[in-house]
Amino acid sequence: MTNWGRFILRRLIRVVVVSLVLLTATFAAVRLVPGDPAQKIIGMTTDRTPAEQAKALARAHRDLHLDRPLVVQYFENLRDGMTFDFGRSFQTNQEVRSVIGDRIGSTLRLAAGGTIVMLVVGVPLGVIIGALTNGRRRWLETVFSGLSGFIGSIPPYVVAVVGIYFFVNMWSIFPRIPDGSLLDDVLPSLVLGVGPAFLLARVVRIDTLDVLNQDYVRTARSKWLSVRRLYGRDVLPNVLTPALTIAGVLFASLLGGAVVVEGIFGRNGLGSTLINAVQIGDYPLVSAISLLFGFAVVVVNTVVDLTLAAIDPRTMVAT
Amino acid sequence: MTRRKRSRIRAFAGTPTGIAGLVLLGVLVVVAAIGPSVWGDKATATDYLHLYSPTTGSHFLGTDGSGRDLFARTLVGTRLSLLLATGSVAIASVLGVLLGAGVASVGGRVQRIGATVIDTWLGFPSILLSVLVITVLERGAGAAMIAVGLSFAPFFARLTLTSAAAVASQDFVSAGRLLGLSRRRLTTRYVLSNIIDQLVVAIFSTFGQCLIAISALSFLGLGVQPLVGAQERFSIDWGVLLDQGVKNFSAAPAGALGPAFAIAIAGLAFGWFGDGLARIFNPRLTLRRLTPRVEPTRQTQTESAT
Repeated sequence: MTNWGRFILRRLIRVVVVSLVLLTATFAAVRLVPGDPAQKIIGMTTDRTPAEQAKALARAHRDLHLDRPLVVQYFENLRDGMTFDFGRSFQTNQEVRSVIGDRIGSTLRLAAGGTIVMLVVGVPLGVIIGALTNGRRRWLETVFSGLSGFIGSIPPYVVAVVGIYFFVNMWSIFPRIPDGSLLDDVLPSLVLGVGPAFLLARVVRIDTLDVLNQDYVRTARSKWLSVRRLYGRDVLPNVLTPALTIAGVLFASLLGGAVVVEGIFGRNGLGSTLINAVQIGDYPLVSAISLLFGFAVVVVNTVVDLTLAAIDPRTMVAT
Repeated sequence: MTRRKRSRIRAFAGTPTGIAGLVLLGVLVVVAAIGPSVWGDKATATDYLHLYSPTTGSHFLGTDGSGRDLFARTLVGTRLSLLLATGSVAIASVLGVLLGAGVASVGGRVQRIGATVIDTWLGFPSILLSVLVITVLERGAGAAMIAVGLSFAPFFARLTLTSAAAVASQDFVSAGRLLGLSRRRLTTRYVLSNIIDQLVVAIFSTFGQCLIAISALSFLGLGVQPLVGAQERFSIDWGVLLDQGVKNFSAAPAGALGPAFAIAIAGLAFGWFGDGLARIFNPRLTLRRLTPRVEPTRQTQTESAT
């Protein structure tokens, strides 16, 4: 088998293993809940005669596969996970799949917007500051590392509150009520992306300094290559490899931030659905959404690994 | 005082952020200690003539929907926020170190599997893990503390595993092994005692993140559940205040900004303090800042060439 084939196979095996771990974890979480989950479901709808109550309980047990041995339950859970069929929501009796289908768009837009902001701001900022602080401007280095550490450590929900205060209440740059246009996504994307962007810029700056002090850049300089060619052809590609790795790691925290921030921006996405589901104990929704998020993180990291391998095949051997 | 100790204090004093972090932490601890008894009455006193009041002379951050002073409430909330963060860091570090040391001492295939589990756990968004844990436990401050503790445990496990691997390959550990010491003794006396520095630094760096995570859970209604009556002053944390502030945002925006800044500043203070500590234990971090950017080896090469 070729290197590439083996590498892709190994990555796919890892995706499968991690998905199994996730499925097992959500399975265990729901089974560990004290009391009978089925009792909880039917408790949500009232006005039943005792006979109807018993029938509803039996149906709920069947829906949750609680009437089968634990081992069978586990494998049924695995099958449900693979077909992404999690039955119906306890609360609305709507199919979990269709709930997720309805809400995923909003969350995807948020996560994509945040990722775009992170990459579009973080990488150029890091390269520019790196170029400016290459052996000079000690003050800029101090200011930048202080500022980026500060911005990077403020949680997204705090950024959201402060951002809404200034951009919506004080300066009225963004509309108070979402009007369905793309403009609605700008502020949430900025809020989600700005922290990771500065953290990314920190790493990119160090890598830029590293690349700028390499011999081949000195050679390029001595040949009087234009600045655009120097940075475009020599510096940027060599900075992108480590930047991508970090961006993959930051994506997980960005997704977590989206879960928290959704409510502040009045969006009805997967995050607010998840929080609501946890509060009322709607287990099918909780396990489906957490699985989906976990799976998204694994897939993004795998894509990052594959991209890295395409750019720099040496990374295939190391991992 | 030994010379080594003195130089460590000097290294810490040489970092402005470390000092700033220490001062901020001192202020936070004092406010947490005296908060509920000093500002408790003001924080719970209702005033129905001044609802959603903006910033005034007597109400620095305005008032909430029951006319309670939001500045006093933010100060009172310091105690619960810090206590819960302390609890979750304790859970995360103890559990993580035990797990990391356990995985590090078994070796072989089990170690590889353990490391994979820790890495998967580490890569999972911590808020989602906390949410899963809270699904299992009853909603509340304790559950949030355990949930955050569990979601930060893999960080300590990974750190222990990595540093233990670095220490374990050194000669004195081999010497201990040749002396026939038990695996457990080797792990605790030889390896763990050598990575304690890094663990202390990690505990302080994680502290702020745990505080932020717990506030996030309270903010989402999954953490601290505010009580009424005499217990009220002990059941508010910054996350709850932020949640209430955001709900009243258009009426009294200052009420959300107060706890937001408190969370940001506390997170920052712990981060800065952690950085300062890292400089003490790892002097190379300070040295690197002092050496010029140009690498000395390359300079000598060019000099010999010319």
